[in-house]
Amino acid sequence: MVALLEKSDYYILPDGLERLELLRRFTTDHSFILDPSHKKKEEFLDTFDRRLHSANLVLIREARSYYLRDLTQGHTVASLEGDKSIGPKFWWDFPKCSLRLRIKPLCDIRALLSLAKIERSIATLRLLNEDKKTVLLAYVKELKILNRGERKAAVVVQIKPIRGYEEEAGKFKKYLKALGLEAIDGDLISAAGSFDGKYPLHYSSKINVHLKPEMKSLDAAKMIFRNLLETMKVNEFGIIEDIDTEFLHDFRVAVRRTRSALSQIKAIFSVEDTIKFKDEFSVIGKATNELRDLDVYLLTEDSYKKMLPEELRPGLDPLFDSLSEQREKAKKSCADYLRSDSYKKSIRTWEEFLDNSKSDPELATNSERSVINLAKENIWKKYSRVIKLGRKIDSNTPDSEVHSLRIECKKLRYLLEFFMSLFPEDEMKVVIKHLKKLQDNLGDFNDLYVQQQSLKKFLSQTDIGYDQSKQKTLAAAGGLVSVLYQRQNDVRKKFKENFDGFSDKETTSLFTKLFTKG
Amino acid sequence: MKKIAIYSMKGGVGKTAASVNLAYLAAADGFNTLLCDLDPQGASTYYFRIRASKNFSTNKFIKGGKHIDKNIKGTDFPNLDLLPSKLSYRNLDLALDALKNSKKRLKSIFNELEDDYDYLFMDCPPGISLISENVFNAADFIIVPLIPTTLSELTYEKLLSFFKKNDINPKKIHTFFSMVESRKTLHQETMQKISQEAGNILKTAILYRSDIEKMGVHREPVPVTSPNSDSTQAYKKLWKEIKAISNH
Repeated sequence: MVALLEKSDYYILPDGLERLELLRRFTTDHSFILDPSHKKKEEFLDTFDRRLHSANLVLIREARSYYLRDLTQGHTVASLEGDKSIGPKFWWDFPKCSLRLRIKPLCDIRALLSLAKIERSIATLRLLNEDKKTVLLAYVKELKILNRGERKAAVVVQIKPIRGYEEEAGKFKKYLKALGLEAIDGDLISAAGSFDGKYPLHYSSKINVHLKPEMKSLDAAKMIFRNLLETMKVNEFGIIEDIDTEFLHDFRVAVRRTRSALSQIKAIFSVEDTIKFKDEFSVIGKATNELRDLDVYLLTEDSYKKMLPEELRPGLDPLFDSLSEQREKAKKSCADYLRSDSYKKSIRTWEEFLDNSKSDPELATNSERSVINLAKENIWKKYSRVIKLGRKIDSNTPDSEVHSLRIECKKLRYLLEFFMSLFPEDEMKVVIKHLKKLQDNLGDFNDLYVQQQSLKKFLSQTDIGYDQSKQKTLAAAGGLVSVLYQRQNDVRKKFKENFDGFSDKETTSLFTKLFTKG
Repeated sequence: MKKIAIYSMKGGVGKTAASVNLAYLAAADGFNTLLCDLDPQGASTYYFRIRASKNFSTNKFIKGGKHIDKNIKGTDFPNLDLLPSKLSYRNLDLALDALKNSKKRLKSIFNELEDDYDYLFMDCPPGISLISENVFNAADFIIVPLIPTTLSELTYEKLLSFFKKNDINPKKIHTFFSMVESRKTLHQETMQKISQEAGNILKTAILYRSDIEKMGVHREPVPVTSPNSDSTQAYKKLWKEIKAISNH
């Protein structure tokens, strides 16, 4: 479990130890007071990818109140007491308040999940001096994790020094250490021991493999494929339960990367196997296409409306209503697919293949080569192609060629990410930064194009009648198409600037240095 | 950081009681609070069962910075720290007088604590001296407990004229009636009179009650020893008023 509570020094008390006695024995010239313990039930909320945690925050629910706390300092950053809504899922489900404002940019479109339910009982021990002044606080905390059956996790002692009385705290720590108690510098939950939950501890949609240059290409590729497969699997439940749209997005990116790796990390499997699995993953990709398209359209609702004058905005409602209806159906068929035998079989076959296939230099000529050489070769080839295509593009180039440059850039990006760990991190960051700028430009261009096409399709499917509301919808959609067209042109104008940034002397020499043999 | 001085020219008006209880309530309200005991008698320090370190002295106090940091002590209550007083503070006037910018030294000492606390309360020694003047310059608000008697009225007027003469903004002054005995007609009449004439009078009056008198025995703020008493309620109201005026 990741850090959930304030970071501090904790000492774990072993079972069966008479703990109060233990603490009382600390000193004879001080007295102890034991404040009665109180129980607290807390629920920890965060997004699947722990966005609050990454921002050093933790969101806690106690009954109907929410507290957003700073992870390191432990103080409450924002709170919402006595909320009446039932189980808010997204930031926008919270009533307007400072807590909502704080989590909005962090959570964005991700839902909040209940990561852990915990019951804590805390007893406070106070060490008093001869004036009966408290000079040290020690919390004896007992922790139960409620998610998975009632399970006692740990009893820990947390020392809270009081300003101006650090000496006493130091002595007490020494005493505990002398007793052989283990000090843990961290958060309470990790002190209490991790527990197996529904959610992975550290989730990132990024490829996370540590390759070694001299590794066999086949072994390196398998590591990459396994990592991608893992990403697919952990996201399945979120798609099936329709928690938020990012589960499907991350799932699809992993599918796309897998397909891309199959075709781009060349000749590590036999041609036959490569084609077979490319097809399998293409089927998986297609089964999720419709839902993702609809998600993307629905996510644009607000920005679409902002592009139009206020009186035209309601005209778009029928469009988005119909998209929402379609999404309901698409969601069901996507969930059905992920639960289907055919999907499960595809995944199982792939897993078994990764576990069992052996390198065979005759059928797969690159399988035994060291991965560093293969990586350099593949990246350099793709890079040269991107440069060649990009140089040809000017204001007269047809959209379709811009489109193919976008695809090539994406392939290059994937290759860089697959093999990231083989190269110096700083330089890879620079390379990716420049490529990303170019990709953003090409991506915007493509999105704007696709959006126009789908709006035009919608327009052609709508019966033009004399009905006033239909007229409004047509006017709104028509208005949007022209705004989108204008924006697409603007984006195209910026292409050269972005491409120049990517193909300048500095970036070129960096690519040459990193990915050519000499 | 809002700097609030609890000050009275006259002694024995409930100044320390107000400092201790208001600082406690501010901290209980979630504000990081420091109570600075400036009175060499050290009553606030005593109430919190704290003793200043042997090494702490007037000279160190005046130097400020890390000397202050080292000597701040945590009380038994969350968010509430105390800078204890020393008997040697009786020489504070002389020590201040020897400085160049003798009237604003306190202000610059406290400015260094700006980021550490939301509220600073100063429990000030009685009288009108160089320390008082330092306090007047340093504080954003000067809360003056006033026993509703003719004599108090006179000292209050003296205070106002002192402010005018020394070019200190008299609007910083807010008074409240302290140790009020509701049975005494004189108290009632004086309160009415002053309320009509003076500006900046806080609405809450603190009555003369034994639980406040007994603070020295319990050595704890009144809201801790008698959380449900009238005195606690009154201090809570007073704190609310002070919070409101300090928040605009």
